Order: sequence, then structure tokens, then C-alpha cells
Amino acid sequence: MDESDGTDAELLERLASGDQRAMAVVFDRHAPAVTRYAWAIAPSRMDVEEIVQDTFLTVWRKAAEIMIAEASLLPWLLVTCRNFGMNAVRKAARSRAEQFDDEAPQGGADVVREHHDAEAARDDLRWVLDEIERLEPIDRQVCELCLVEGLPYAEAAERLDLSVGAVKQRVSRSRARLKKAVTLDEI
Amino acid sequence: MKSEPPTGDELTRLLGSMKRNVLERVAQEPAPAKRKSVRHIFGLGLGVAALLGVGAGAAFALGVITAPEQDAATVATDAPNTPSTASQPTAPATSEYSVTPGQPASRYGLDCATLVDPALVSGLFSTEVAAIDPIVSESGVGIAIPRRAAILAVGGSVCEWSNGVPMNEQYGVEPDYVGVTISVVPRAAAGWSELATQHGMPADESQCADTWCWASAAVGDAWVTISAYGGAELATDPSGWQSLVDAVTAAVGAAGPAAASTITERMTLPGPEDCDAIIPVDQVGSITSTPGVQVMIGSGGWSEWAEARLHADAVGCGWGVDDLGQAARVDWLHEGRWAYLRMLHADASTPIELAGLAAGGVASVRCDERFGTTCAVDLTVGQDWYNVSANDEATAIALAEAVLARLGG
Repeated sequence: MDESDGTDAELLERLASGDQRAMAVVFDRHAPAVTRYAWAIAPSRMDVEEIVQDTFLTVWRKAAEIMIAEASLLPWLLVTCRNFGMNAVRKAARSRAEQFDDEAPQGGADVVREHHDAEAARDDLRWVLDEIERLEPIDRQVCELCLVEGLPYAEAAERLDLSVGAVKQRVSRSRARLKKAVTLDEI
Repeated sequence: MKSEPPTGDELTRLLGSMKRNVLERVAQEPAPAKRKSVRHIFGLGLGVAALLGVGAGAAFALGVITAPEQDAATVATDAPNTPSTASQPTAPATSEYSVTPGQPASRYGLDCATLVDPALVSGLFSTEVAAIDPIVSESGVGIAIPRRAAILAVGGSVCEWSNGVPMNEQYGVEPDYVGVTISVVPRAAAGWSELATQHGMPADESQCADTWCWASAAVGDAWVTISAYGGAELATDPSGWQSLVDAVTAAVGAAGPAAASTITERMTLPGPEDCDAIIPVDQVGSITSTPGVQVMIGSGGWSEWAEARLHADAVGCGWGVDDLGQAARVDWLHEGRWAYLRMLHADASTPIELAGLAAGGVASVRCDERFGTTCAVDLTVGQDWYNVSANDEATAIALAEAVLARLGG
């Protein structure tokens, strides 16, 4: 991952402080992967655009609350994308059901694809396997727990014994690495 | 989806479009507007078509749309809501169009008919394009007040030439759209907003990919943007694009500086108290059956449209419980009745009656099935245009009537 514009943790801090330029960096860095994942789970291309855009809108609005498991924001983005995608699938299913039976507006529930089917969930990740493979070990575990086993992000973080304090320490370490890199460049 | 995701230029275009939307919407559009059902839309198209007595697209192409405000207001409450067929993209037949009286004059005195040599525009594409009403074109997609209305409201200019397929960048790029849009936004008397300068805008840039081109420049006291979309129809001739950019820049530069603004220009975003003046938050929660609803204050990206909307005091208010969606939204355009009447010609609205609507007032509802289940009620309050959206038509109507009760019809 190109960290010349800062680590994901640093970008999150900039987002939380209202730095809009960081939003463009986050988008450029992660939107291709999020878009490919959205492509796999969305009912239509129009849904892909809405899902991806809503995912990045959410990262802006919740930047102060987001907990990065290891180093990358990508797991959180993919989980959020998955949640929006499931909503889109449900809406599409309801719409199809209503077309068949106006008297049964809830009739779409049984045709909604349930994404906690592990095999199907793994198939949904087919376009982002390379990105996940490049993640740090804990970030990869978050992807496994959330995107394959279907755990909520917070529960996955709890299972991995992550805490806000631990994340802040990681942010500090990231900054130290960045400072060291800058020093070496100057030499 | 089972198909493979896009790659190469197609992916680049998709990402570019989404990025622009995200950077703008984080500030200005907390959630995308949505529409209801195909069946409903067919009904919508009809009301206005019947209202006009002629297909809006055809009327537009012939340049006959003048829609006197009183006439439109009268028929809007009487038009039947009979089923009809959905409107189809209409290739423009002429390069002239008429506009509804009431649009503020260009503070640069610019005229789309003479702004640039039409050959510079048509030369970009391998298919025919012609001048089209930018308000109508943008109103053909989605349910929001068209962004361009704010640019026109502050005395700016928006000129569009297209193949007749409606497109609204707020909702993404329409694959079949071919066209060019030129926007000219005058600088406020107090300068560009802090939000614009924070983003390094107006940016000075020009770029082209295989299927789109984009340029932005500060020309004197004007913020000029030019966008072109063409899919396979866009000729990839960088010199042609640059010639158009140069011609527009020269024309705007020669026309400036802008005449003095006739409106009180706003320079800061509204706060929750401004939104409470439209509808108190508790009332929004009650009408939408959404406990704990709060005003959603946007923040984030910026654009020439956002700048114009700020100056026009037309930023709008959204309400929701969390940031994943919103329960209600109200937008407005002061002195924007002219734009509302122009929007009707997009053939996507059904006239409705609202409790509290004053004599001479106009109200209609529109939905867009491509974006989910949200509908918007458009209405006039005096000479202002209000756009009230919610997650179903009944709730949108109830909210609109609450706005009327608060502000008067």
C-alpha cells in the first residue's frame, strides 16, 4: 500500500479532524477494491455506485469512531460495503416480490440471499482476494470473521482482543515509522 | 453480479464519477435521493404530459416551452393522473430553446447561443448534440432540485449540449448520455467561500480520459467548469477539447467582471437552528416515526455547484438517526419558482394537492425507482421552491404540509 500520503490510521485522524483532502486519498487508495467487492454482491450496476458512495460517505461521518484492527482501513470498508450491499439485495428482492404479488409486501424475505452462507460469502470476495492477501494478519482475520463468518465488525474486534487503546498504540507506531522514513529520505 | 467488474478506462470513469459524487455529497447530500416503483413512475410522466398537452421532450426540441407561471400553476392542480408510457430520450432537433420567464439574468451577460462556436462542441463527438435546457436535462434523473438551478439563481450561467438523454451527475453518469456542460459561477462579493479555498478551489485543471473530459479554471471573478461525457461517441482529440476550453475561457474572460449580485450571499453553512426553522426536529421525528432523529450536518468536499448553492442560501437540511441513511430532507431555492416550473418539463412529476397550499401555489410529487424507495414533494412557498423528501410518498406529503404550516403557503 502506498503510504506516501500517510497510513490509514493517520488518514482516519485527518478525516476525524475535518480534513477533506484526506477523503480523496482514502477514496483513491481503497475505492478500486471496494468497487470490485460491491460488484460481486450488488444486484445491479446502479446499486454498485450507490453502495460504494455510501460506504465512503460513512467512513467520513464515522471517522472518529472507526477502529482499525491492524493497519488497513480496508476491512472496515469491506464490512460496511457488505452491509450496504445486503440492504440493496433485500430491497431488490422486495421489489421483485411486490411485482409478483402486490398483496404481500413482505414476500421478498424468503428470496433474499443470506450472506452468512460461508461458501457464498467466499465467492463474493473473489475480486478482492489479492487485496486481502496483502493485509496484515489481524486485518485478514477481521475479513475472515466479518465477511465470511458474518460477525459484526465490533464483535470481530472483541474476539481478536482489540481495544481502542491498542489501536492508538498502533497509530503511534505508524507515526514513528513514518518519521523514520522521512529522516532516512533526508539523509 | 455475475459479470466481471469493469477494468481499464471503464473502471477509471466509474471511479472518477463516484469520487466526485462522494467529495460533494459528504458535504451536501447526506444520502442519495431515491424513487419508488416503475409502475408509479409511468403515472408520474403522464400528469405533466397531460398538463402540457404535449410531450415535454418534443415541446422542448421545438423550442416552444415557455410555460407561463400562472398557466402552469392552474393546470398543475387539475391535471389527471392517468397511466401513460415512460418518456424516452429525445434527440434534440434544434439548437434553440426557450426558458421560463423568471430566471435571473447572467451577471456576465452570457448567452448560451453565442458563448462558443457550436462546432467546437459538436466536434467532440461522433454523434449529434444540440443545445438543451440544463434544468430539464438534469431534472430527468432523480428527485432533487437540480444543482444547476443554484448556479443560475446566483446569476451564473449553465449551458448544455447533449443527445437528449437526461443526466444528473448527482446520481452518477448515464451510460447513454453524450454531451457537454459549461458552468460559470460568479465569485461572491466577499470572495470564494472558506470551504472552497480549503479545497484549493477553483482548481485550475483540465483532463481527458477515453470517455470523458473535465476542466476547471478561475477566469477573472468566475469559476468556470466544463465537463463532457460521451462513451464511445467522444472523440479522443485532446486538441479539440483544449480548443473548447480556450474558447470558453476567452469568452468568459471578455465578459467579466460580473455585475453586482442582486441577492444576499451566504458564506457559511447552516446549522441545526436553521433547520429547526423549517421543521422542528421533534416534528420530523413524529411524522417520520423515527425516534431520536437529529439534524444531519454535512461536511466534506466542494464544487462549483456547492459554492453557488451556498451563496444562494440553498444548502438544505437533512434529518436522520445515524449516518447510514436519512429519514427526511428539505431543500429549497429562494425565488426559485421559475426553476420549479422548468423542472416540470422533465415529465417526471405528478401534480398533487397539499393542505395549506396558498392560492396560486403549485405542488407535485416525483419518485425515481432506480435509486430505491424515496419520493419528493416539490412545492412553492411564495416565489420559493421547496423540495421535501422522505422514505415514502405519504410521509413526504405530511412533511411538505408541515413545511407549509410553518412557512405559510
